[in-house]
Amino acid sequence: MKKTVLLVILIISLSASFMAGIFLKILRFPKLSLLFFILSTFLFLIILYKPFRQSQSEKKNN
Amino acid sequence: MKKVFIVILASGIMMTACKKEEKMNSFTNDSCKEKNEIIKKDWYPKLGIEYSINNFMYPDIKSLIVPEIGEFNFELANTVYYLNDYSIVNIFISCNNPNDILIYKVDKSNNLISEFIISFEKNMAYLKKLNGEILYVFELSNNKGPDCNQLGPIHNGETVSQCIVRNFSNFPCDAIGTVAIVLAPREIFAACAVVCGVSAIMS
Repeated sequence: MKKTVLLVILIISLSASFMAGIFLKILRFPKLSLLFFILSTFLFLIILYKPFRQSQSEKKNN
Repeated sequence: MKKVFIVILASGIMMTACKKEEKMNSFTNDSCKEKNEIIKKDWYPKLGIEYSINNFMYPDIKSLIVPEIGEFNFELANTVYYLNDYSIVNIFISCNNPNDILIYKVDKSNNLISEFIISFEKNMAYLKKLNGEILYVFELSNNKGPDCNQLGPIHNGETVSQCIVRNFSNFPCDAIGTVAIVLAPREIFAACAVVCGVSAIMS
C-alpha cells in the first residue's frame, strides 16, 4: 500500500517537473529548464528502480 | 627601377581602395538627399518623408510575400512594380533606419492608394501602417532551423496560432528540446498553447 502511494507521488512529481521544464524552456529560462529536465530524469529512474515494482509473489497475494 | 615601380603601383592600389571606402561611407551619410532628388516624382512630396535606396541591411533576404500587395524582390528595391490593375508599387529604404522599408502603391493617375512600412528585427518582419499599427508579422524564410531565441510569449501583432506554431517549431533548438519533443509532443504543444494564450490575454 505504502509503495503504491509513493509510486503515485513519484509519477505526479515526474510529470510536474517535466511540464515545468517545458514551460521554462518556452519562457527562455534554459538553465532552470535543464534542472527540471534532469530532475524528471532522476524521478523516472527512481520509478524504474526494482524495489518499487511489485514482485510476482506480491501480485499473487493481491 | 623595378622596386620603385612596384612601390608606385602598390601606393596607387592603396589610394584607389581608400577612395572607394570613402565613397561607401559618404553614401550612407550624405547621399540620401541626393538620391531623393534623382528619384523624386510628383507624388513623392505628398508622403513627406525622405528615403534612400540600395543600403538595405539584410542582403540574404531575397523576397517577401505581403498579403495586401504581393511578392517583392528586394534585389529590385526602389524599382517600380506595375500590377495587373495598372496600379504602381514603389519600394524605398529608410534613410534614418535601414531596417525599415516603405511601400507605396499608387493608381495610374498617381493617386496614393496605400502605404506600408516593413520593419525587420532579427528573423521577423513586421508589416505596419505609417502610424505604427502592426498588420502582419512574418517569419523570414532564411531562418536556418529552430532557434532558441525565437521561443517566448506572443509578439505584438502576432496571432495566438502563429505564436503556437513559432514556439512549437523552435522548441527542438537544442538536444534537450529535441529529446523532449520526441518523448512528449502533445504536452509541448499544450504548453505552447497555454503560454501563447495566457500572454495574449495578459497583453
